Amino acid sequence: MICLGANLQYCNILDFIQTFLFSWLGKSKLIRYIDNDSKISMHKKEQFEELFKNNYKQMLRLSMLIIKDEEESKDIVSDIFTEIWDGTINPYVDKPRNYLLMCVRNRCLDLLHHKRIKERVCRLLTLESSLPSIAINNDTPDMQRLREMVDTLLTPRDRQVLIMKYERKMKYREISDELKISQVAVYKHLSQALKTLKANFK
Amino acid sequence: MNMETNEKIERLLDMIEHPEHYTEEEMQKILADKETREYYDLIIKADDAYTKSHDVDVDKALQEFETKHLHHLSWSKIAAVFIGILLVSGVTYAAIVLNRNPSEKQVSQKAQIGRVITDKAAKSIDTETTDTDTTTTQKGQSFDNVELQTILDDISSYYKLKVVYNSDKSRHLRLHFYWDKSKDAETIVESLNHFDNVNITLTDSKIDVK
Repeated sequence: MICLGANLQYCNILDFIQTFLFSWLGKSKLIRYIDNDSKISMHKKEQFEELFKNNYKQMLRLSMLIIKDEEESKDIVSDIFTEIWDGTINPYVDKPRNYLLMCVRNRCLDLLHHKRIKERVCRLLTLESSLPSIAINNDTPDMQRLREMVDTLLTPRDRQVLIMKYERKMKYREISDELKISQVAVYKHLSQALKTLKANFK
Repeated sequence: MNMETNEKIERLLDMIEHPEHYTEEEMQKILADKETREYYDLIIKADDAYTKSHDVDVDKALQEFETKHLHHLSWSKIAAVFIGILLVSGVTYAAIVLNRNPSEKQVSQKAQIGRVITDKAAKSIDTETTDTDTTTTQKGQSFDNVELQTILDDISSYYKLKVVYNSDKSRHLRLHFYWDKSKDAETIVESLNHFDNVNITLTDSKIDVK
């Protein structure tokens, strides 16, 4: 006991004991069982990690798109992975990606369902109780088409106001200050932009 | 309500910008209108189309997840931890046993207050005792870190002597001294004088402390 100097680090002692255990008792059936058990868990862990790495990003992006809150999005995705790890859900099906994204979408919509209309409008959250299609990010053809239309169909002033509102996320007051026009004028330009887009976005 | 499209759009934009001006019910009513609802969905699309998504660090997220959830211990690790605990407690126990020092001197040194320990040879009523307060014979008294003043109080009353202090400093000197009561006053005074800073003279009736 005395020969274990105080300088030995914690993990070294554990490693030492672990090797000691395995080398001295390696022949025993019990140890073979334990070793097998740890082999299985290693495989399970690797499989899980691969699933995580391949899908986390897309799941988080989808969640962000629907509920627009980073913290809540992280919680939702994290909860899903916890349930996978605990064995509550089994995503190892034919197309795991689709399954996982459906999970995310359903949970996000559940979350929104409990929010009041006022809160949803505040944060520009969807009012639908079901989304027609799954958009993983905003680079879908749909979104791209919308941006193209903004560039080609709107008058320069209308386009400028819309970009300031939705890309730079500016308030009406800020926009009117920067463009040196009245707030009423800002409203008018934005409505016109939306009208043009709606007419063409069928 | 037959509103112009423009009016509808502007009311919608106002509602989104200033939700505090509308109640929940008012909002529901406004959004019940089909055209308004379609414009709301369009606004959301525009907002989505231009919102930049920030980069996701997947490896970091995986690490955070694993530290929180993977309390996964294989059986061999559990056994190793258990043996490690046994070893550590063994070493600790050995250290404690080896370090224990049963000396009373150390214990008393910790306290700044001195203690007077009295040896009791036997508990008996003895006609030899002259001190009316005691009912036992006493071989001697041990003074541990006790002030000279207190020591001399006891000694002087035993030997029926007065104590005179010529300086205040000497009163508060702390000494470790064993008083053998079988000895006479001169011997005791001589022993006390062996201490540094102690200078006592004994006359017939008093102890003079310098």
